[in-house]
Amino acid sequence: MQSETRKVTLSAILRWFDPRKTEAGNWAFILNRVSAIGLTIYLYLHLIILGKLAQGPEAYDSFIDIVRDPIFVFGEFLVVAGGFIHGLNGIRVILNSFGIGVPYQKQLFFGLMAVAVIASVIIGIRMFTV
Amino acid sequence: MAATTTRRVDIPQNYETISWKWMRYSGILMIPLVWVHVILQDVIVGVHAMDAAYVASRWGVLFWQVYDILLLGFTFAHGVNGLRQVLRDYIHRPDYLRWINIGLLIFWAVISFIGAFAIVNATNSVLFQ
Repeated sequence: MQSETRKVTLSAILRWFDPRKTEAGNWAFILNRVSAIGLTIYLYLHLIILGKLAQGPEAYDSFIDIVRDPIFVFGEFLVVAGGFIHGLNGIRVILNSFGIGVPYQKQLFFGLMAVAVIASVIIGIRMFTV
Repeated sequence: MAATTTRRVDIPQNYETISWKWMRYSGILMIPLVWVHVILQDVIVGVHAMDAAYVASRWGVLFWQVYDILLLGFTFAHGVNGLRQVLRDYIHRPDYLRWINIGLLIFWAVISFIGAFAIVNATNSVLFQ
């Protein structure tokens, strides 16, 4: 395999973080993968915490009191924003996968990400002010 | 744009192509399921109004029990299968991949079963005492 013979150098690693040669498709992949890993970790923690319900209402409610802290609400906002980014980018992936709108995938990506930003801002304002 | 020609390709129906297809199908289902869930909990009910009594009031209704089981099954399957795809990008040894497939399938099934069991039996639990 070629990857085994290729030498891993510092400049090769640094190039990985260089945004100058990163195109729209690369950004779409990075956004999709980072949000995917974040959402999966959140989902697992979410399910584990729901297990507190089995210990009775007091155990659950005392946990809910902790996560009313603004730091946790901000974390929750990141989950919501990640859900919008991953879901809306997912709409593009699904459409393109079934051969719909393939020539317009760049426009679709930027359009859907604009929707994700607007939706996140609206929900974010609601989460922090209500 | 250059002229394109279409050609029919026979795609083998193996584990990977079926998993690829179901990532799309579950994705379509999750768009209404997850967004309604998020908007309901974080905006309509609000993160500050959620407590065990609220969870109990929802799991006392069959519609929300079915909704939450679908949400759990599809979302966790999509997440674990996604994790499998991430691992496949870095791990190439077929014997490792086989054990990853088996391990993640068991992990998904156990967690989903515990969750679904809890939702089905919620009305008999400490939540309703």
